[in-house]
Amino acid sequence: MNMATINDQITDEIRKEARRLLKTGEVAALIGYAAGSLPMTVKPLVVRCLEDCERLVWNTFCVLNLATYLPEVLSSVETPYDPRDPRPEEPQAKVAILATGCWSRNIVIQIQEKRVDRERVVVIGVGSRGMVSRAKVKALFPEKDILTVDEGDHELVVHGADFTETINRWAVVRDNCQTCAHPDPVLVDIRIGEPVSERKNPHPFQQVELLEQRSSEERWAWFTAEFSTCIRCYACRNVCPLCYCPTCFVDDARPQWLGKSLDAVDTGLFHVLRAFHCAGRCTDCGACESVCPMGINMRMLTKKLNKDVRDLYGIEAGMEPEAPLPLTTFPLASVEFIVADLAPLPAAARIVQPSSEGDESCKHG
Amino acid sequence: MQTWMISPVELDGLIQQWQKSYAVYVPALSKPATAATDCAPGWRRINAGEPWTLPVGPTPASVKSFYFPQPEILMTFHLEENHPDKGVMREPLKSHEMQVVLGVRPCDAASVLLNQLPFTEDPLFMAKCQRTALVGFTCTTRLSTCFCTEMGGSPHHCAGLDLALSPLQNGFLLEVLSEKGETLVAGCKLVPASESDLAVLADRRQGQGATSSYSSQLEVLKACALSRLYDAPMWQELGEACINCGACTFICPTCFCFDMQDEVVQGQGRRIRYWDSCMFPLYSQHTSGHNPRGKKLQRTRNRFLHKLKYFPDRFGPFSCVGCGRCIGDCPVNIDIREVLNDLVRRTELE
Amino acid sequence: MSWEPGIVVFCCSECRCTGVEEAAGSNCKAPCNVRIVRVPCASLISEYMIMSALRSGADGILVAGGSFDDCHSAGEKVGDHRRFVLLENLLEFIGVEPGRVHLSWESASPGDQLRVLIENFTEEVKALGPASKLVKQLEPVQVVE
Ligand code: SF4
Ligand code: SF4
Ligand code: SF4
Repeated sequence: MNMATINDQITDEIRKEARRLLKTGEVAALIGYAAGSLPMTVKPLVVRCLEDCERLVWNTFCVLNLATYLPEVLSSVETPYDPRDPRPEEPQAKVAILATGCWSRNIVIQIQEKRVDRERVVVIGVGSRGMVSRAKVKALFPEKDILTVDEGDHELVVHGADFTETINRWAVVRDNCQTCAHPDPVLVDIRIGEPVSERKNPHPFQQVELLEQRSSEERWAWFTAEFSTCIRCYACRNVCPLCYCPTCFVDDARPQWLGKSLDAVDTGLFHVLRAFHCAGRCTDCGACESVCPMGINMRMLTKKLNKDVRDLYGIEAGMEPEAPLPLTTFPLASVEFIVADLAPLPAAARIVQPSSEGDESCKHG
Repeated sequence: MQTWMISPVELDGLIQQWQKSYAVYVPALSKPATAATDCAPGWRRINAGEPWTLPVGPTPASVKSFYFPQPEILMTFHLEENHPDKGVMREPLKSHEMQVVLGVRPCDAASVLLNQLPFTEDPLFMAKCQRTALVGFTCTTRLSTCFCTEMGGSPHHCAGLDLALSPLQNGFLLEVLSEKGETLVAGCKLVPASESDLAVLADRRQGQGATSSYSSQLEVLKACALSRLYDAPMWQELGEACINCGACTFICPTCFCFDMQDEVVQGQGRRIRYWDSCMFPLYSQHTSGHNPRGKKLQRTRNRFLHKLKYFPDRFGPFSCVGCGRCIGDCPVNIDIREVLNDLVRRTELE
Repeated sequence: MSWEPGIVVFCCSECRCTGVEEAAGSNCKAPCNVRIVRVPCASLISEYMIMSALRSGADGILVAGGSFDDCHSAGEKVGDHRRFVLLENLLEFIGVEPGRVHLSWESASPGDQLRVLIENFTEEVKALGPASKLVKQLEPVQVVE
């Protein structure tokens, strides 16, 4: 592994690009990653000066979705103004952000939802080769203290105090990356590295389908067991670029929609509603699952919704900046399609197959 | 107090004896059921003869939920029409039965002592201290995230424990450290520890790696003016990366903030005290709508300054025992050791 | 006494609730077990309302929006319909019995037809039995007398 890996080259290119962008004043800040203090971790870093460019890294452990930081960084570089005055009219400084396939789709959604001004974002697109799950690697070495992990293009070398082992990289890539069909950014202003081709995935929703085939009682047993360990730290919610309500429904006290502590029903409802709020917007970036300190697979719920949104409304979130949001913008013509398809509501008819007209009306609407 | 030598078989016998009279808890290794009815998420109750293993390093869940359950029911009431007790607040019965927590590490034991400082006048917390016996194991291996020695602790310390077990070649040295500890070993025929075994223990406690010179360096933080630490430029970067989740505070053994609310379900009410986190925006929100810690940066700074400045100013010691849990579980890799280094460097600039 | 399900009906006062009081009042089959929540437009029914009805122990939840044709804010309702279908599927996915939450966006005239709808729904819920999933239950606590 003496040769520079793909990610080393990308790191170099990112630093070079960052220096150029900041030097020319094209952007006021750049959102990227710095090396972490533990093996297999990285820290999100907002670079504002040339010296910090050298701290930027790109590796296979970049599991957070940087789009989460974008709105706040954008407002941090705005000219300060008195909130009683109107917004200043002169063009505001720009922010550059690294983006893989799913993160770029989240930026698209931020643009669609008017949280981010397209003109002010410089998307530095990096094709993703799949990010590694720290939990999966740790699970391979139970009760061992992993001290360093070296990264090659296709393998990881894991070192502990008394062992060194080489493992296959793809085997420990996160589930969402393994089933991802669009690893290449959909929105690119500056490209780093080679584009990664679309992946043809015959079963993108396999895990969800396996659960769907089980009985209702089995699914309930899965749900209760999976979420029984949640400590309600809300890392999954806060790390998500889609969650930005100033006061989340879980924190409401009047009306108190949910209890505040560890009750299986309250926790379950939190997860159902959190997932529901991401319906039609989730890009399956996997950040929520990656950050959960309890290793909960809450992504299964959003994945199920993604599947239904695709099947019912023919939409994948964040693919086209110009497309309307599937659940809030739609042609009235689609009324007929829905009513026709859903008027009889016996249980069997509830999971509706995609209809070709539906696809059409949504795409052109 | 007395120190004994005990073989693994004898220890098993002792544990089985406790199980006859007390509830005995051990760390849960697989996914622990959080909403355990006995209010100790991350721990499980074992029955006589049931096997258990002690993980290397800190237990996955800290012991704080034995003292500071999530949630704690403060009062119960009824709101049903026609209920004879409608609108009357009633206090739940407190249990006084002893419970034994087995497998506590020195860092967690130290955290219980620290938490007693702010809670000393809290009857609920103190009642739980009284009924909980901590049986701990000193550490022979430190994980790469452990930094107890830097925080003034040690892998070999036993402060806060009722019984301390230190592994030796052929058994454990058993130190009886409190009255509760006495009760636990009462009536057992044990062999007193030999001089040479005691020497091994003393050596461990004083020898290499038992303390860190860094901990004396940290003392300068206590003397440093708050404003100097408060204004450090590093908070900008930390605050920007932090996502303000509650992971670090919830898994931390020494974080103890709470909120209270009434929950009513079908006419039955509970006034509960549940964990809160200074990382949450609502934590410091005033009724007026004003939030003195309205920015992410302010909240992140508060967590660290509370541990490293406000708490020592008020009570003396730092409110961190160096268990390293927050380092491993922080989604954005905010490392309290780096924060400490940065703060110390800042005091040195003066 | 046989078990009677508790039913919560969210309904739009513009298109479905006219005469709804009478409907509930004269509905002698299960009058006291049906709670009707009137909203000015079906699009104001939020997922929170549905889920907190479930959490508070409703055995069946009926969301009765009007037909799309005579709705004064058809657009909103379509959006809501799109969302609630997803919610219904999600609940089914996690193992909640299908049929506990029922969306009715059918074309129906007020009064009588709503009553028929409620009666039919009540029968369906009866067949499902009492709700237990996602229903919050408090553990009994012994108190100091
Ligand atoms: S990150 Fe995990 S533990 Fe925290 S609230 Fe989400 S699911 Fe629960
Ligand atoms: S921090 Fe110290 S006491 Fe705690 S587990 Fe690590 S070595 Fe043991
Ligand atoms: S702050 Fe971190 S290292 Fe210190 S006691 Fe809390 S969890 Fe452990």
